[in-house]
Amino acid sequence: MKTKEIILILVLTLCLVAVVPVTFGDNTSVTYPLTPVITDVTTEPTFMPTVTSPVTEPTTIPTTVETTGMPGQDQGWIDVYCNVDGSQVYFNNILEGTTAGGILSVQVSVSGTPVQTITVTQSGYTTWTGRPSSMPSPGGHVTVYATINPLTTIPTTIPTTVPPVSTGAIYAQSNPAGAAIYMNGNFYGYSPLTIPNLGPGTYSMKATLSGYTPDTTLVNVYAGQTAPYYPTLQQSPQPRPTGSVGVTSTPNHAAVYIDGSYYGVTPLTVTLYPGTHQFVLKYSGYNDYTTNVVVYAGQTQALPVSMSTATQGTVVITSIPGATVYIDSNAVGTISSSGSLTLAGINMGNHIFKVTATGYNTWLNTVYIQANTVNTISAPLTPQGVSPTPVQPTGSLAISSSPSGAETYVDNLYRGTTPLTVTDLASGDHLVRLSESGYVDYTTTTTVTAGQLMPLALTLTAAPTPTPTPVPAPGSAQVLCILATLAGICGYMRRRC
Amino acid sequence: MAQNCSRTTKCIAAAIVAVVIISALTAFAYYKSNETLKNTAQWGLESTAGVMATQINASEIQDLKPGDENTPQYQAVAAKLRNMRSMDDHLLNAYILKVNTTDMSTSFLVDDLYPLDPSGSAKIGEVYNPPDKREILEALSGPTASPAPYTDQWGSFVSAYAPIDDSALNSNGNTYAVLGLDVSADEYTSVTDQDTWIILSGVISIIVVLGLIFILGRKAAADKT
Repeated sequence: MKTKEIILILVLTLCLVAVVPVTFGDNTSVTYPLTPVITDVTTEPTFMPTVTSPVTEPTTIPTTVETTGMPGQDQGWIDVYCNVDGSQVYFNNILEGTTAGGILSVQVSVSGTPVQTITVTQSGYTTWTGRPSSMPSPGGHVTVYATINPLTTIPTTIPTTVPPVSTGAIYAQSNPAGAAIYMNGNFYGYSPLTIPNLGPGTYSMKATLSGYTPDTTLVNVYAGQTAPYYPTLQQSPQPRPTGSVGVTSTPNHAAVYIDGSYYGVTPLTVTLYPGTHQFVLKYSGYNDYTTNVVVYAGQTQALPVSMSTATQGTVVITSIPGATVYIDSNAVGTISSSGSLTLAGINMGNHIFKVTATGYNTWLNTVYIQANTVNTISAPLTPQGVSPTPVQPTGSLAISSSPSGAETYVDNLYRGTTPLTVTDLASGDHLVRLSESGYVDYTTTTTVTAGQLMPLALTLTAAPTPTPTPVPAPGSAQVLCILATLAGICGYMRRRC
Repeated sequence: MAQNCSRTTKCIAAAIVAVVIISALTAFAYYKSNETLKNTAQWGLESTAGVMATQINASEIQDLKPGDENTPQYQAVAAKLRNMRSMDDHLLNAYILKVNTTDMSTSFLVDDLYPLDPSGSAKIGEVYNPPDKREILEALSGPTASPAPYTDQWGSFVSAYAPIDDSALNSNGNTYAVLGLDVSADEYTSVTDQDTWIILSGVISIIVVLGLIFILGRKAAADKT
């Protein structure tokens, strides 16, 4: 019984001795993760996203495990495992080689200098530094695990996150297309177009296109939406068609009045609406020319006007109301209540004007009527039998001319022939006109001062001698006509005889 | 008795019909007339503002900054506004507003009353919060007018606005500023209330018609008896 117990204890002891090393080996051969432990923590962005990338150093604990080898040898092995192939392995700062297949086994002398430092480096990766827990036993292996991490694992750029939409847009499309689009008074482009990145609010829009009436409106923009602006432009009213009239005159520079409005002087081209228009041309010394012109749309027509020399003028006589006016002994009218009488169409030249009224002395004078001019005559009447009222101070003009004998008119009233002295002239400006046959009429304005005799010496210019107009020789056609007529008369006479 | 009731009923019915017809016609005529008067007044103001705006060159006002109220440049623009405004006695004030298109705020650039009343007028850069801001915004694109009288710190007005374009600054015809015109609210109301006679004539017509119906009804009743 005692022997059995001893044997059992021995067997159990042997079993225990045999099992324990194997169990230790299995337990110590725990591998640690070689993948880098990188945690990218991205918090939910508010406005500007904040991204934190805390990188935790890998908690790789170099563990050396001594594997029992063959006894009696001086060499042992240090096996360096690395997660990146091609990494350089240094023992005591001496390059031992590079890892391949995840491992580099370096043979070391067990009795030599112990390995104090193991460094594993790789370009672009972190450097791992450690030391073996112990030197390997002869023929044994010591395992070292090194984990290196990429240096670029920390994101350096802010990841793109979609911010909350806070703007809107306006899409403008006009009908017809191509309209210029303005927003808040500023030009943005031509339709169709989209105006993006607009804050929410109201915008003043305008679309303009040549030939169309502009469209304006307010458009509301909301965040995240595209507001439509679809203006339909209406055609502008078509301009009325017009025609043109080119007006020329002889002589030139005649004033042109169309439908009563002054347009300018000839030569002149006017643009008018279609229809009948009244043209009046005026030029001093010439009769007014009046005509109606029918203007047609899109047509240009010419209106050449040859103005005739004026032969008639207008007279405005001022006197007391009710007085009778005679011209060359013919009664022509009565002074109106306003104190004047206007007579048109009076032939140019000298006329004897007489103004009479009951109880007044007759006013009689010779008046020169200028053509195409309004001639103003003052005919003051003095009551009969009444001593003349004191007259206002007057002055005189001593008029002489070269040659002498010229008919003299002062304020259109005939006063005699030069040389002469005209008295009783009111102070102020007076129109003096000298006329003599063969000489050009001389007209001037002179100022008379009360109580003074003003000399006025004038020289008349000889009128140009009219060039005799050559009688045109009868042309051959005219001669033939005359001959034919004579032949016809002769033939007729012969037949009658 | 039955005949009297029938006659009375007919008179009442005729009166009601007459009142309804006359009232409807009067209301329609008044509405149309009032609308036309308002539109006419607003169009007139818009046209005036539009024409005045064309007379202002953006280059005349682009350099104005706060504190420049007494510079010859400001005085010249103010005088020009005042001269144009003086053509119509109803125009109380003419001014130029600058609209900041970023935040749509409005500030004064020129007030034609400033040379005459510096203390009671708006200065350059003075922010204005107009009751009719919508019309001012719309005036960046074209002439507009207040749809109805409004009241601000200076009184009650109806205003017209028109864009001053910067074509003189060689652009695409962008709007540089907005010209404003003020008309007294009383003046505006006196114009738009000219059609009150329509209501008066409608009331008189109703009275006359009712009277006639009453008299004729009584006469008919008397003839029957």
